[in-house]
Amino acid sequence: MAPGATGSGRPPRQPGRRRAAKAPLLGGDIGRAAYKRRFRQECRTEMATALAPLSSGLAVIYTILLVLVLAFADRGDWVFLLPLTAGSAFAFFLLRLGVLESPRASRATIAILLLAILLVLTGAALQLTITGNATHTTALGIVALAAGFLVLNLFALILVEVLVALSFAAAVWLNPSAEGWVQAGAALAFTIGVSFVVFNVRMRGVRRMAELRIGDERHKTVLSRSFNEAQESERRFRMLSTAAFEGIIALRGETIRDINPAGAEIFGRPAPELVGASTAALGRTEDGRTLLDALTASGHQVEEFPFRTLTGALVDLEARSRKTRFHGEDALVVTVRDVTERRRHEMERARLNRQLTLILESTGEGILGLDADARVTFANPAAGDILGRPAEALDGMDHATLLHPDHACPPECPIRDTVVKGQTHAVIAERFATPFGKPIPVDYVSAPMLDQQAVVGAVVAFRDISERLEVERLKDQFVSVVSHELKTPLTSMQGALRLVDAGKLGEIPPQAARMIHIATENTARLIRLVQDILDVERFRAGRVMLEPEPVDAKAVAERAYDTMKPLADARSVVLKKRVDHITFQADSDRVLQALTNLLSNAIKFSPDKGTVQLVGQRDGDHIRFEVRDEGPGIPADQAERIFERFHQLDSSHARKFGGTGLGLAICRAIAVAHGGTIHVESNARRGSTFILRLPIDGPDAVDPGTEPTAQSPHRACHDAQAKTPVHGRST
Amino acid sequence: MRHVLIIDDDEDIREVAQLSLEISGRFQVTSAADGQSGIEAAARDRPDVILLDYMMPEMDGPATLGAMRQRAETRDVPILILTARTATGLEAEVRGLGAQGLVEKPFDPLTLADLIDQRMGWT
Repeated sequence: MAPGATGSGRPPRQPGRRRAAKAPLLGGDIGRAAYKRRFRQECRTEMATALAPLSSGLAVIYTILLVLVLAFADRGDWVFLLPLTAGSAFAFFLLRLGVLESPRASRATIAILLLAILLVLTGAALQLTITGNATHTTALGIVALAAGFLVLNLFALILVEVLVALSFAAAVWLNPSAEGWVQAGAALAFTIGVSFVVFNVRMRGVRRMAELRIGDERHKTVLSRSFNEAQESERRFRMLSTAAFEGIIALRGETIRDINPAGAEIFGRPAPELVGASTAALGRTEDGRTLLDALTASGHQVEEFPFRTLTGALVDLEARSRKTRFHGEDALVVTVRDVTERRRHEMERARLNRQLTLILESTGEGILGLDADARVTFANPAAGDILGRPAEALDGMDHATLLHPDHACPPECPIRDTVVKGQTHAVIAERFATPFGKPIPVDYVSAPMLDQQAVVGAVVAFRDISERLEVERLKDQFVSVVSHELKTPLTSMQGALRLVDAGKLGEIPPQAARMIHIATENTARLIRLVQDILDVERFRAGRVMLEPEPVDAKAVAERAYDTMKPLADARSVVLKKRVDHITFQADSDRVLQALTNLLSNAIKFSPDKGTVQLVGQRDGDHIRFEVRDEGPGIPADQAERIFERFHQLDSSHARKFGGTGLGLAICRAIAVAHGGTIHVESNARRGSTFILRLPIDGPDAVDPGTEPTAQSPHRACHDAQAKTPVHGRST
Repeated sequence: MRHVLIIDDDEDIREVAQLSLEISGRFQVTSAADGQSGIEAAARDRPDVILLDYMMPEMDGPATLGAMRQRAETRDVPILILTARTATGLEAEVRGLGAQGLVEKPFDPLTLADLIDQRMGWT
């Protein structure tokens, strides 16, 4: 609405201007007083714009005509009008050229007008002074114009102009002269022009107001809508950026334009401190780059780097950025995330992974991971080595094809059972297939992989036991040789000595007889030792085949009693027995051996005239034998160890009592082989009680003497302490 | 007086066993040092019982036992296997081969005669 927009003073006519002019005046929500004030303002601007060129133009024409008339009349006073002419022309051309069409044009126009008026007044005053005639009307008109203009009462102005014109006309009528006509014509033209302009201006003012009003409304609506939208969008953005877990930073160049709370938190400084600061205020990477530099270097891709904030904290940042426009300028939006914790976890996980991998790769045990279909999903190098294929080649193979020598799953395959039912199985001396045809002997444990109670697969850990089997074979051979090669000479020795010792071959001198006796006793001891060693070894190797049969407890106890009675008598030990008639399922020779060992042990450790008692009674579904002595007792810390092989409380006992240190180990082996237990309860004052408990129903159906391949996997696998000598028979 | 034939490669064993049995006064004892000569002796003498060592070089106890069971002269001679082995099931094994039982080494020379009587059911 630049006031000088129609500086030509000729506003374009518009067909609907009347209607347009009325509407805003009759209704609308703009207050009437405010409207009038605004209207007047508009009119003043318009009129100033319109009148300036008009008055200037008229002034120019008027002075030119006046100069011409005076010059023709050969009057010398025309020169005085030159300044007036020049000033008017100057103002006119300035306006025409539009130089003054600017927000301040109306005020400038007024200034020019006043200048023109001043010049006209000067001219009139000069004329009056020199010629002293008629021109007073000019001054009068100009004064009226100025007054009208200043008060801005257009009707008064028009009225004054009309009066001026009439006075000119009257002056010419009364005193006709060329000068008079010119003056009258000028006044008339001036009046018509001004009237025309005034009406035009008024019309224009009304139209402008209408435009203004409509524009106002529209503008207001648009403005309000866009304002609301902007506000909503701002609110949304704020909410998102405030709630975001990621730090969001808006950069313009190096300068931080905005940062959200999460971002401020990462860098450890309040957001207001950072806004407006350079990116250096956030901190630097370890190699001294700012965040922006680091991003630029990475091509604004996702980048993870350690970053030291200005607060000194070292954080692992994940940053990425995107170029965007911000208030019409290039800007960079950076999102940052503190991944310190995540990275720490990742490092920890990587470390654990590495460790696990190392463990899996370094272990000598073959380890196979199987999925729910019992197919290999993992194999460590040892597994490959043992199975004779590269570990990678095992991937995806079915366990049956891979492991079972006939490439088919046997009906009770422990591995399948693990995968299907989640049962853990420890299997001894199984055979796994190899591509070379000869199956390889292994021990293995097949354990389920559980994911929230569900079986998702199995881990089979196995070990090549070829070497162990070979050692066992050699040992068996050795034992067999020893049993023969030692026993044969011992048989001769004992036979010969016993015959002499018993006096069957005639009288010998007492000292010789004593020596022969010592030799006989020690030979017997040597024989017992050899026999015990063989027994222990055979139990340990699982080569003792029990021959369970119904055994009467009383009968077997009596046999043991009878066997040990001579030893008890020899040691002045009272041997008592109180055993019930109970029939139980057991290998009677082995039970006898155990009871004999226990009695022998008790007798050896009994004091002179001490009592050894053998008690047998039912104890639930077990038969319970007790052998009580009145010996020195066994320290609590030895109560278990005495059942180990070659364990003697005091090595001198062996010599003194002729023990081998194997008797209790054999007793335990026998107990375990029957599915029973043996332990000792001891008291230093009252002696010891050895308690042998054997199940009435006999040993488990599985025979420990058979080849270990037929082991009950259940029994073996649940036995974490399978150190006892008999396979598959641990407690 | 019953006749016992002892077949054992170990001379000392033969001697001790022979003496042990002779002292009892109930047995007349002859002996052989290997399976082959044992078979010959058995076929010739028809002893009441043979004590046959299980483990012998060349022809061992079971082989000798088998050979004797093949020959008409020795088919019915009772045989007790003399052994240092104590493996479970050994008695069943030798009975399966046609022996009457086991006599384990080391044996007690004072009770060997009783043991044989017992094994043979002669008491």
